Amino acid sequence: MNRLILKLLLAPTFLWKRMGVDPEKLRLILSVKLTIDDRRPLTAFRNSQKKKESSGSNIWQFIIMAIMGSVFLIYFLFLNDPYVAYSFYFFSLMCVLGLMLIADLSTILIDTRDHYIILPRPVDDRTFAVSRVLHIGILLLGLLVALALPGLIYTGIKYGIGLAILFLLQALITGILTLLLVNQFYLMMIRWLPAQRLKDLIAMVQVVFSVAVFASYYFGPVVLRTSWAQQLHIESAPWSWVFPPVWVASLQQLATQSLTWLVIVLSLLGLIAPLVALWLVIRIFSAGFNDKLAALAGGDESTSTRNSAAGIKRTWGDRLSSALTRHPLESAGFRIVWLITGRSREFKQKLYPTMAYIPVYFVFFFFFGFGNRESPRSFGDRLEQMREGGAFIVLFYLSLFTLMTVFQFIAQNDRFKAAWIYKAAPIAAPGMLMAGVLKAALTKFFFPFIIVLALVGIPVVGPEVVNDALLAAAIGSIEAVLIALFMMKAYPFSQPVKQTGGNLVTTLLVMSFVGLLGYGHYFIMSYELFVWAACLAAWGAFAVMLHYFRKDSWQVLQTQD
Amino acid sequence: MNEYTQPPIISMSGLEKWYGSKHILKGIDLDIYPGQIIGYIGPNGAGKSTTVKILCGLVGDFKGAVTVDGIDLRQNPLAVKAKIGYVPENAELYDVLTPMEYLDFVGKLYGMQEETIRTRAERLLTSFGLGDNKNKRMDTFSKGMRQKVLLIAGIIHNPSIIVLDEPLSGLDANAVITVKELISLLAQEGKTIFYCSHMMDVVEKISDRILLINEGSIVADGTFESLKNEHGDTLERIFARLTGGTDAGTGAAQILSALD
Repeated sequence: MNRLILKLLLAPTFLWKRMGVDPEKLRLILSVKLTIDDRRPLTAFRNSQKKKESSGSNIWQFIIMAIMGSVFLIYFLFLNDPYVAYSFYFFSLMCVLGLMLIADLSTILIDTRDHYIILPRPVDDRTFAVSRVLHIGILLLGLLVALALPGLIYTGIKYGIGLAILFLLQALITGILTLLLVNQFYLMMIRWLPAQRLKDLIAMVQVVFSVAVFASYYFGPVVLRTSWAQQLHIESAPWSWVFPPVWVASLQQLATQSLTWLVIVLSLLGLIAPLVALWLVIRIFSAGFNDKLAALAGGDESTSTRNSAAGIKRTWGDRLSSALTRHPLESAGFRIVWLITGRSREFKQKLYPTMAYIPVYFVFFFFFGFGNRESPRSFGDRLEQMREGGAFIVLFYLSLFTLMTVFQFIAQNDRFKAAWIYKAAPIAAPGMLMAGVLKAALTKFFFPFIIVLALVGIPVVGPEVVNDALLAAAIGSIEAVLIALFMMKAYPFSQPVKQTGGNLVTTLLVMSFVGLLGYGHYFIMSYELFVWAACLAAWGAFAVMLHYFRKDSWQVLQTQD
Repeated sequence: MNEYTQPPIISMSGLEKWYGSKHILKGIDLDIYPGQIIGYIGPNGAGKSTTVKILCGLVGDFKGAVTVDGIDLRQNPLAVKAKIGYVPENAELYDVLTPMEYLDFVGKLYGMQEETIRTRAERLLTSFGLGDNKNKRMDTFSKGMRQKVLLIAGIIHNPSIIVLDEPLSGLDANAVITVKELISLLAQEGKTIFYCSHMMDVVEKISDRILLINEGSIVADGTFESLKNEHGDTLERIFARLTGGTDAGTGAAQILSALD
C-alpha cells in the first residue's frame, strides 16, 4: 500500500522538478526508507510486536486507529451545530495526527544516520527535506484512512454520498496541513535554535502535546456539555476563524448551508493553506536543513561545554547516594540511575508525559471527578468529600504510575552497548546493584510526589494526612520491589530502545494489586491509630523485602545478551 | 626467560567454541606467563574476539578449559573477571556521564571504594591529559578522548591481566606513544598484557610473543624474531603468508582494475 502511495506521489515528475527536487533521488531515498520501515516497527505504531510487512495494512493498528477515530464522533452527538461539530472533529483529528507525527518525527526527521549515509552523497537540501516530509506523509496517510473512517461513515449515512466524498477531501487536507504544520515547526526550530537545545525542545514539545491530548480526553466531554459549547456558532465567534480546522470544516458548510461570504472565504483558506504550507516548507524552511542536521548528529560539536556540577561539588545525587547506600555495587546502581535518568533525552521523553498525567488527574479529581455528573457539586462540597471520603489517598497511589514507567524504560538506552561493562565486571551480588537502582527510582520518582502531596494535603485535609502519606510511601515502596522483580529483566540502560509497551498482563496484575492495597488503605483511613500501625507493618515488610531483594541471584540478568 | 619458571597466569586447553553450526574456535591450547606482552593477531573472523570474550568471561558455553591465575573460569568467573581489565574494541560508554562519574560507576562495579576511585581516576585522567575535562560530559568528547577514558576504566582496579582489543583506535600520535610506553611499564610491573590488533607495526614493536590465529586455530606462536626466521621479513608478510592472503599486492591490483 505504501509503495502504491509512493508511486502516485511521484507521478507528477515535472511538478517535483519545478520545485527544485530531483525526482529520481527522491524515489530512491523513499523506497529505501520504506523498506527499512517494513522491517522495523515504528514508534507511534507500536501495537504489534510482530514484524509487520506493511505499516498501512496492519489490521490491528487499523482497528485501534478506527476506534480512536470513532471517539471523535461524540462531537456530533453532543453539539447541535454541525459546523461547530465538524470544526471540533477536524481539530481532534489534527491533534491526534500531530501527536503521532511528533512521536515519530524526531526519529524520522532528525534521523542522524542520514548524516553518514545520505548527506555525504550528492543530494541537495531540497530533495532531502522533501524526502523526509513525504516519508512521514506516506506513513501518515495509512493512519489517516483508519482514523477518518468512522467520520466518513457517519457523514455518508447522515448527509449522503456527495458530502462523504467531500469529507474525504477534507480529511486529506487535514492530514497534509497537520504534516506541514508540524514539519514547519520543526524546520523553524532547526533553523533558529542551537542543535543541542533543539533536541531538548523537541522532547519538551512532545511531552506538552501528549499531556494536552491526555487532558482533552478527560476534560473534553465536560467542556462539551457546558452551555458555552452548546451555544457556540462559528459565525458569531470571530476568534474561531483563525483555526485551520474551522477552514476545513467550512468546506462541508459550502455544500449544505446557504452560502455566506464567511464560509466561502474560510473554505478558500482551507484549500489554499496546504499549498502555502508546502511552499513554505520547500522554499524557506528547508534551506540550511542539512547543516543543522549535521550539527544535530552531534558527536564532534564542541560548542557545548557543559560542565557537570557533579565532581566539582557534591550534588544531591551524591549526597543521597552516600546516605542511602553502603555497598559499592548498590552505590553504583544508585548513581548510574540517578545520573542517566536526569540526562538521557530518550528516557525523559518517555517519562515526563506520565509524570504530567498526575497533575491532570489531580485537577480532574478536584474539579470534575467526584461530583455526580447530573448534579455537579460546588468546589466546597468536593473539598468536603475529599476530607471525608479519603479521595485524596487516591492521588498518592496515582503517582505509582510514574514509577511503573521508570521501571519499564530504565533498562533501555541508546547507548545500550556500553552495558558490556556489566559483563566484564565481577558483579558478585547483582541484587545489590539492583537495590541501588530501586532506591534511586524511589527517591527520584516516587517520594517527591508523596512529599508534595502531603504538603498540599496538610492544609487541605489536615495533619492526619501525614500517616496516610507515610503508609502510601511504604506501600508504594513494596509495590516498587514487586514491579522491579516483575519488570526489570536487564541491567539499567543495557537494552536497545524499544517501543513495546512492556508486558500488559504483568502491568495489569501489579496495578490491580496496588488498587487492592490502596482500597485497604481507604478502608482503614479514618482509624488513625490503625493507619499508624499499618504504617509500621508496611515499612517493616518493605525492609524485609529489600533484604531478600538484595540477596536475589537475579538469574534473569545473567541470561540477557 | 624468567617468566617460564612461574606457573602460567592464563592457560587454555582444548578451547572450542561453536556459534550454531559454525565452528569458531577449533581447539586452542595456550599458556601465557606473567609479565608477557602477547600480540594476538589474525584476519577478520578468525576467532580473535571470541577468544578474548571467553577469556574475559563474556561468553560462556565453550568447550575445553580456561584457567586464570589457577582459577577455573567456568567454576568461578567472577574471580577471573576481578583479575582482568578489559578494554573492548569499539567500546561504547554512557556518554551522558562525565569521566569521573563513569569511572566511579565502573570502579564500584569492581567493588572499589569511592575515595580510592576518585584519587586514582583523577591521577589517571591527568596523566592522560584529560584533567581539564574530567567533569565534562563525554558526549562532546572526540573518539580519542573516549578511548582514553576506556583505557583508564580498564586499569582503574589495578588488574593483573590487561586485555586490550584495538586500544589505539582513534588515538593521536602522542597518545599512541603514551599507551605503548604504558604497556611496557605495566608489563615490567609483572602485569600480563593480551593485545589484539590489526596494526602489525605496533604488534611487532611492543609484543614479546606473537600469536597468530587463523580459522579458529593458532598457526604461529613465538617471538617476532623467531617468526621472522621461519616465515619472512615483516610481520605483515608473515601474516599474509600464514592466513592465505598470499600476495596482498594482487588483491589491490584487482580492486583497482574493477573500477575500469
